[in-house]
Amino acid sequence: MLWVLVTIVLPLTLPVLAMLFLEPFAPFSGTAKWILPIKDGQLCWGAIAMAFSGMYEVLFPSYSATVDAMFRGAVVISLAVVVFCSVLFAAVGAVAPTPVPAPPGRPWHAHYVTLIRSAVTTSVAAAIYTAVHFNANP
Amino acid sequence: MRILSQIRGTERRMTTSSKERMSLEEARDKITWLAMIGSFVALVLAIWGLYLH
Repeated sequence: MLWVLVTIVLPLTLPVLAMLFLEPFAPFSGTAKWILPIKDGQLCWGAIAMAFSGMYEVLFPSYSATVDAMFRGAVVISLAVVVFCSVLFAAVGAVAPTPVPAPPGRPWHAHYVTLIRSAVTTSVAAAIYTAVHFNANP
Repeated sequence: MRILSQIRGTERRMTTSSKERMSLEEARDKITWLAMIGSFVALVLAIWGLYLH
């Protein structure tokens, strides 16, 4: 569980927590919103890192682990797809940023689509990386 | 007349810019939708690989 905390949870949540700490202070109050660091697909930067780490672990496993070719191939291809999708999120989110706050009357899930979809992709990357880590390092 | 044409030109530019903005957001939504579906496909492939393992 400590591995999940330091490798997945903290890198993704600390920028949001930092925004919450900034919010009470005068120069930042009103402009420092917790959603700003993640609204344009920035979570996918973490997903890219996780996907490459997963690839490294499956391609260069520890000496005690046995990783068969089919498992290695499936995981490397799936993580390459995750990297490709995450790169698209990071680039497209930067080109067309989501305005904050959302226009009145528009539901949050319809407005912050890039955030929601990038969170799904990042969760997929985290799930595959966790599964690979605990399988490649028994 | 010149002023009027300048104003019209500005309006035209603003309208074009607004349309480009709309299409940019639509393109972003389509790409993010495809990317999310792609990541689901990757998840299925990884689960298959883990099942074989």
